Amino acid sequence: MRQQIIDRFVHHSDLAANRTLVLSSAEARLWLDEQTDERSFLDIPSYDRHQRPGPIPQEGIDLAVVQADMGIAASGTVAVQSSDEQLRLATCLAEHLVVVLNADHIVAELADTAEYLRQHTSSDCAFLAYITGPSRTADIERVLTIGVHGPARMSVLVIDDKEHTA
Amino acid sequence: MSHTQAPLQERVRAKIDDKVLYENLRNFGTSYRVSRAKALEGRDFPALRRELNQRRSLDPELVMQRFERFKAQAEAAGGTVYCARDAEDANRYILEVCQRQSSPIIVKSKSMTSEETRLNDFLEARGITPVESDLGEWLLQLANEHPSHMVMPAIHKTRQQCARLLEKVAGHELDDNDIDTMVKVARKALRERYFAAGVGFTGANVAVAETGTIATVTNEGNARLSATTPGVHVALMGYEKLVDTFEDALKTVDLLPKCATGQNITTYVTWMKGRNPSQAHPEGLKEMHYVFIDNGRLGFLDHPDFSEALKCIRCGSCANVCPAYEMVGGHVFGHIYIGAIGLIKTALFHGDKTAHDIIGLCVGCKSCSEACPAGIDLQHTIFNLKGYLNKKYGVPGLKRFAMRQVVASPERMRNILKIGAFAQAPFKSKDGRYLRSIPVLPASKDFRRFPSVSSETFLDRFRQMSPLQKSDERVFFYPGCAVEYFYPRMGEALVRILRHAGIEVEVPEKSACCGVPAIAAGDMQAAEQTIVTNLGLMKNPEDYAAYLVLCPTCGMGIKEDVPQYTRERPDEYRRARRIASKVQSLGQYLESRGMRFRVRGDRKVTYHTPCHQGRGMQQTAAPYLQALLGDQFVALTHSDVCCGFGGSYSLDQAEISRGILDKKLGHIRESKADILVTDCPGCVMQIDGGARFQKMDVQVMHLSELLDEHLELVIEA
Repeated sequence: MRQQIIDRFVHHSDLAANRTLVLSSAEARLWLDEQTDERSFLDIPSYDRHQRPGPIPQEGIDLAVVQADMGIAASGTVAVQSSDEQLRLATCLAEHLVVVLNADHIVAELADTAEYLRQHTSSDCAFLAYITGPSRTADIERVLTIGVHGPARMSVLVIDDKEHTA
Repeated sequence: MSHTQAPLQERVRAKIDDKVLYENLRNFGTSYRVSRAKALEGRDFPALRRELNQRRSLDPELVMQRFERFKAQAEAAGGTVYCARDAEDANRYILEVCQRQSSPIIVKSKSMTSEETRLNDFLEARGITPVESDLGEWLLQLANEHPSHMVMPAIHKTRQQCARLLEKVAGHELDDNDIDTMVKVARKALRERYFAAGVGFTGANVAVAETGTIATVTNEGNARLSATTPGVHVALMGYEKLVDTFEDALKTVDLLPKCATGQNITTYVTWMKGRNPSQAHPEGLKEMHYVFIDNGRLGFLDHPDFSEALKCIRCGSCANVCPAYEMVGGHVFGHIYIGAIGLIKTALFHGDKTAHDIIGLCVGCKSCSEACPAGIDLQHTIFNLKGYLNKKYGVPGLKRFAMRQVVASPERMRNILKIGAFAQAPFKSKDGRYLRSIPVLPASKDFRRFPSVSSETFLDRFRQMSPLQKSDERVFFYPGCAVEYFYPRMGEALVRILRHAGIEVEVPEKSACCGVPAIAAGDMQAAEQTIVTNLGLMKNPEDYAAYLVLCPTCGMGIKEDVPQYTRERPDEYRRARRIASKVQSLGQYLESRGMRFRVRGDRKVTYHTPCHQGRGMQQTAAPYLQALLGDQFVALTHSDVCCGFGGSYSLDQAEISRGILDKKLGHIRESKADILVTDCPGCVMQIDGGARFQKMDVQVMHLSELLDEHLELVIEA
């Protein structure tokens, strides 16, 4: 059942033109060490990795890594709390957006996120971004082009530590 | 932007001749059907849309309650809620917000409501610079044009045209085929605008009352960026966007992309509440304005016909499946709102004179009603709207004469057609079935061979056929005008088949029109007259196992319109309802009685599903034919897409009708079938007419003729 949801998420995430990797925490940390550098924007509370090289400039940045609250299996969507302005800009303007998602936080359907939305919009302010793949358009003769105003590439790291659970 | 327009027919012609538009719309129409079906796989679409329709209840009290809840939440979170009376009021409020900023630029993400109010024109005339951030909308801004589709606004533009527009921005030449580079040019140019803007503007796909949250859906990421970089965010929405809970909101967000573009979900769904951190604002928090607009909507919330139209979720499905839209695009099929919903909304928001101009573009195929995820019966509303508009602006003279004086009177109609049968003699083809030419018909309307008026009506011929000596079952057959005057052989075939099976067939003493042509023309008076006459001729429903029709338009007329028009006369209404419950098409009846047929010969047969059979009577003969014919049955691509007949539409909007027919004939050629069978005489008239005109080999016939001539009834012992 859990594996089914993870597989379904990965399937749809790939269809949305993401690069989707299923990794253990250890593998994920390694991946981050290899793929990020001092210029990357990092906000990954689970790994206590925070790095903000400076205000996000108009031209954007190369890489941003953030954490999702949850994922939706039916569509390969990740939900990222984006009230923090710099984090929001980073997710909007990074050429490559990487999102870390805990495999245990994947729900089956869009409809299953109603309670999440209700809870997180009960405070004074909220900016919840459901993101499914890199930005795209088909406005010119219906030719699909990836990378319009937002990221041109997106990767999702699904963290599955099943070997470590009892 | 100019709003004066050439006459409708000129606009139609210009679009019909636009080869690029034709290809773009046709390709989209085809791929859309496939990707939408895939996106909805495994989902119970009828149930989903029923649910959405019910949850979006527009009881005025409920709407206001939702609004008050939203307002309380939004204001508690520091936002400002403004209630705009009309377009001018909304535009003025937004103008004042813009004027308070140091930058004159307002960066906008796509909002049909702002098109409705013509916000951009208003702001530009007063020194504010609106910049559209959606790539398609921005290209149209550069071209000084309106969108022609709700979701793909620039679908009418070629890559060459886009390249020329973008070259002005890029400052150098662009390769027409390098779409990637073109998009990069837009990305760079718009990035600058996002950061230069003083105000960010969005619409709202939903406004969730329970926490005062709005949501936007985009693929490009332009709504969230527009709502991020400037220090002020203005969101404009109609009251109908309000929903109670997130459960309701998610129903809309779930269906919208699947129906709009066949996507599972859009790349971005952004939920925004309250004053989020914003560096660009002196207070460090975003200044939030929620502008709710009336502009007439509130008055329509409890309108018996039009309130349903306010449930629209702006997906564009009704344009995507419309065969007439596919021929001419949104600049003709619509005003500011496009597609089937556009015809209705134009009447609600942009004046019924403008609506009257374009309402005749609807061919009446019901595809829009079938596709709408909000469960709006768009076709029904369009029909009623036509009635209102024709009452106000008048039915065109000749049509009114035809409906009131001829169609409404059985004797007069019969006499006129008898004269016609006589007068047409010099024009008949050698085999007598067709007219060789029609002298007064202009070339633009000449794309079919017309059937000749039959010298004997169906009723004449029926009276010459011998009744059964005895029978176990009796049915009543209502021929309708097409069979009675043009295709009596279809009726004769039905009688032969049924009598051969031991079922007696009875018919009306006189032929009276079912009333649908009058209703379609918007002449309710003539409709009522003929419907009451017709009902009087339909005998006692208790005597018959079924009421059979060969024309599904008549079938729909008897099932739906006859009860409707007799609802103030209880006795007649009761009889009408009883008859309505027994109406079946021939195919339905034969299938339900388990009649089996043996195939004669080896002709390949394909089937066109008439609009009023598939979407009207909710039944298609395809499975029955498949079972009867086995390998000899070939499925027709887009079988249930309209043939373009639409009754007088094929004359009123001949060019669109012809274009739709050409697509159908193309599919028929592809099927390599010997015979095209269908169960509507109108479709036969259209498809056969076109096939003969284009000298195709395929034979076109009614189901009754196919069963009579090419199959053999198997009589159980």
